[in-house]
Amino acid sequence: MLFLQDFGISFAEQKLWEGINLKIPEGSIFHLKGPNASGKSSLLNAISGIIPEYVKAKTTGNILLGQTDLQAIPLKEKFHYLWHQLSDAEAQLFFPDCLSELAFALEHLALPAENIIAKINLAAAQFGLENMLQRDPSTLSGGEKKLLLCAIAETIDPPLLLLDEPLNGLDKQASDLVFKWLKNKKEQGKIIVVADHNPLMETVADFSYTLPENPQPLTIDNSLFTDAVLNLQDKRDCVITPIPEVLYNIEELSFAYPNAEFLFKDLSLQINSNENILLKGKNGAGKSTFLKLLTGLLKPNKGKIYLQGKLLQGLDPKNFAHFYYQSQITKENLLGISVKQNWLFWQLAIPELKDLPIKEDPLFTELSAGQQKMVSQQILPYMLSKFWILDEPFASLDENAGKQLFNLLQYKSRNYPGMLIVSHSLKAHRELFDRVFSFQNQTLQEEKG
Amino acid sequence: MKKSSLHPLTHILIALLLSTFVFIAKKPVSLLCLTILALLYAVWRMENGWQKVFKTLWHTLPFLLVLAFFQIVFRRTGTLLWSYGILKISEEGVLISLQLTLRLLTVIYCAKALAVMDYTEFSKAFSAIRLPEELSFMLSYAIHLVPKFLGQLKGFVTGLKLRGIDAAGLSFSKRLQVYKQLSITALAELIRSSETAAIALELRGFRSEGKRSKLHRQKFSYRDLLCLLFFSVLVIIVTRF
Repeated sequence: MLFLQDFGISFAEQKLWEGINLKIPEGSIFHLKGPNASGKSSLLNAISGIIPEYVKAKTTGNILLGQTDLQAIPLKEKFHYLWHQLSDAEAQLFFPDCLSELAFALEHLALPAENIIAKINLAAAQFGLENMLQRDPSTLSGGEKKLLLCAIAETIDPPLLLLDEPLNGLDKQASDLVFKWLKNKKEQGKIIVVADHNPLMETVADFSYTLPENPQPLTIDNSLFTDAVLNLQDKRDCVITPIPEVLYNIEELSFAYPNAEFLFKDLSLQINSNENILLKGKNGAGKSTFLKLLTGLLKPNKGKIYLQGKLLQGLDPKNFAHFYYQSQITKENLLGISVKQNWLFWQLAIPELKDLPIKEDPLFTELSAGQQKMVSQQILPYMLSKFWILDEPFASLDENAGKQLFNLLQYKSRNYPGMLIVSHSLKAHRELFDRVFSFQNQTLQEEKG
Repeated sequence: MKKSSLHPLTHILIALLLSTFVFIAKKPVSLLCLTILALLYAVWRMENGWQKVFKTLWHTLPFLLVLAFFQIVFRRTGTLLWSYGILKISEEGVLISLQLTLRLLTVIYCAKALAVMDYTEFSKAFSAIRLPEELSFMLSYAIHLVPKFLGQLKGFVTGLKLRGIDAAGLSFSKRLQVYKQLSITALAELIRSSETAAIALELRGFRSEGKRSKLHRQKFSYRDLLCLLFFSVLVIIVTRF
């Protein structure tokens, strides 16, 4: 049983919440809910010991795992008791290959080499990672990174699993793998605490708990931006040049990462500037890579990409006139260390932009993953006239923020059509899109109807 | 990374040997030989070695030339070789500037050669001589600090380009302001990422008490000994020139 007794956290002098009492029995899945910045990750951090060992905060009350006082155990010894999967999968991977990632904890449990290999093979097979053991984790897709972290948890197999947004960026097949694994762990008597915005988590959870409201949240309210545009009071989108009819002409495109199979071969496609396109595909199929090729961030192994009739040769700031790209990794979309600094960089790009209508200037490190995502999307209403290339824009967003973004996408699709979106959350909204493609057998297949 | 059949400790010792002896040697010929040895060693260790070595030389050249210039102009001791007004070039100035340049280059090439090693390699090397794994982490992080910082900065410049900002097209003062801000951000990110890496590893038992096992053990072989012997003899010979 995991007990939280009269538990509370304060950052500096600000109380996040206090007096939380929870009893989570063995063999159960506990779903932690709450909007962005409600403190879900902070609670997981406190249970694992990241708070207060690495993140300075004051805690009150007790955390017990059975008879063991978890707060008395240093973080470095916690792996005997728990596994904590952080929301930022990228940050949790450290080694040059997946095999070393999987082996590290087992070496610290002093298991013999043959047992390590056996455990790794089992876990890799469970999450479909058998062929990726020699690959550099940084070349894995967002979903594959999440699965790798689940595989690490499987190899360590501690009694308590703390999972922060494990379903973020996973396709249906991968989500099913994770659900199956969670049910299996539950049957083995493990305690599983999950923080995730995905409503599907409700269907497998035995208990759910909504955290008390954060009394002094650092508010990131993108309605300040979206409402302004949706009410048509303020259309300050900056058209640099009119967008032509044919935006992209892709000819026999092939791409493979070093030491890996081809993601796609001889792919040809034409994208018009006023088309709304949804791009689907399994985790690791090459969706994000395809978007990076369209922006010039990656160069094809073979084939050519023409942007507005001109051969795309790497990243060129001038291409910003035609499209706006957002990476799946939030921090790649932010510049500077705080919300206002990020906006200052936008003002450097678009001098007509007014100052940000906020009083506080929180550092990115003070914001939750969802809030950081919202900050990175503050510019979207000002980019309506451009072709949007967005990679998993809904990842990490809570219900409210997700609705706001959906409204904006709906508005753009009708009034300023032109977007290519990779999202596992938009499959049910076919009406937003003119065309839907999915990656299959190293090429793009268009879905009819 | 170029795969090497040698033990990682051998590579650390070779780099240590070269970078130590370059500070012991004084004669320009010895120093030049050691620099060439370090250059060849870096070429051996890196993929596309020649290309990378000359790229490094090209990038560090302005810095090295400025340092050499100050040494030449402001060292007044020793035999005077040339003078024009207040400008004087002495024999000692030239010698010291040459020593400094070659020593710096040797250290840079040795660091480059070590930077191809990741944490697992450092860990293998240090566990062979029973040094704590914290040291592997610290050294691996320190060696990769500059490449990581530059990588961060490059990422931010990409971010600028994706916003349509061409840094080269900005006025000098604006460019300075932008790079200052990006450098501070890169530094902050570097500190934050080292902390996150420590958390990620501790969650898997890094620094924990108790015994360890190794998935892949690598023993110190006769090839390692031969290689070390070869480099040691070579370094001693060139130092005595």
